Amino acid sequence: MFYSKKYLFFITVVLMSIIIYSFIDSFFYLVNINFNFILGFFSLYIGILLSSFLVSLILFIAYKYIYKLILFMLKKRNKTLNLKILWYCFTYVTYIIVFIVFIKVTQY
Amino acid sequence: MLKKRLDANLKNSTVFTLLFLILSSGIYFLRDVCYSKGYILEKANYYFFDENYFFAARYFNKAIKLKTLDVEVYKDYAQSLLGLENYDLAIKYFKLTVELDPFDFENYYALGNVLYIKACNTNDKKIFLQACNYLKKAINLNPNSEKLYLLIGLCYRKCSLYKEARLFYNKALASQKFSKAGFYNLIGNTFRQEGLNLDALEYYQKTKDSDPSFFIAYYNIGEIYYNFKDFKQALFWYEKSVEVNKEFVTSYIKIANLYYNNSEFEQSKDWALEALKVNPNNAKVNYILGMSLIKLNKKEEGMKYLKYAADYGDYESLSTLKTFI
Repeated sequence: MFYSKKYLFFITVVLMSIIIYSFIDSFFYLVNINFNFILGFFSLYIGILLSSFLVSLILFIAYKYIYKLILFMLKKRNKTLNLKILWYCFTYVTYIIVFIVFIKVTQY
Repeated sequence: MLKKRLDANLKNSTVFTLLFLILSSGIYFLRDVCYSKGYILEKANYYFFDENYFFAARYFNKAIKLKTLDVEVYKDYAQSLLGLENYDLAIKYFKLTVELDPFDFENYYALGNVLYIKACNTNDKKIFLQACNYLKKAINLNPNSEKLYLLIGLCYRKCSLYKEARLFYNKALASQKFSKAGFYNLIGNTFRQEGLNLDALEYYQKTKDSDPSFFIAYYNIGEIYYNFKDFKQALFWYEKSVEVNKEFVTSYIKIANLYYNNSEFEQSKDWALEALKVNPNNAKVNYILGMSLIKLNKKEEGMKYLKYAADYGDYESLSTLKTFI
């Protein structure tokens, strides 16, 4: 996702974090906590990116070994996996995490 | 060729992202349409009665957004907000309940009560007076509710408007529907706060005459005599309050303290030991007992009680202990 223009991906996630944080901010309003909006959404943004990176890294490593195992079983030549897969994995996982957080925050 | 491939990636990513956003917002709006007022209110009430005020407030807020115009919902929402110590928002919704149902005195009382709590936290006289105004309206609607007189009196006393407080206490007395002793005692308290000890004494006497089991009245009379530095009389009335209520530890402390100040350490020790039976964790009691024992040349035993007192947070004991160490 947005492999050619990576900054677009980060901008998209920033926008999505702002939307999600506006829902979270309404909870703070109920308990009368005036938390800084920019700091709040930025923490959420960093949290989403970090957690997706960790998950995607685990998935990438798992995929790499499974791929190697399959190649070994098929007795084919070992090919190296490039970082493009890691990027794709990272972006999709980010979208999934954003979706889950959004659903949880807006759920009644 | 490479540029074309890159563009394709950008195009696909944009389409995917747009689809993702449409799907998310679609789910959000679809769910919002599907929520019924009944379901939301059921959940809100469940959390409200479970005293889980955060979730209760969240669901009540949603119910209000779903255009629920029930006074009870506004009242419970405001009550949940009060539970979350969000006083400003609670006041806003209590005011709405007053607007929706201006003939229910409970709504005015609730509003007066939240204003009183906010005023206590901010120490703002203006807010106390606002509370008084709403409580006056509540009294006009229902002059037979004791809690209204108690709260309005408290609000006026917090503003040092003792005359106004007494006016409402006297109104309560005139209605002859509530405990006379309680309101006489409150009037006495207002006089004492004003420094008018003789008037206070008169009302405390009235309190004990109308209800001899009202032990606070005896204690208060003792306090007045203590202020007059008539320690013999003070002792007499403190002992009277102990006779009426053997669990009232403050009187024991006062008696023990009076004996201690009069260098009658054996008596002060005995009274402190009596107090210890009622409340062994009281710092002041342990301090007086420890000091009395030290004066009676029982230093080791006395130090033990001073240590207890220090453990329970008595700073005087700490400094005394330091001088002995």
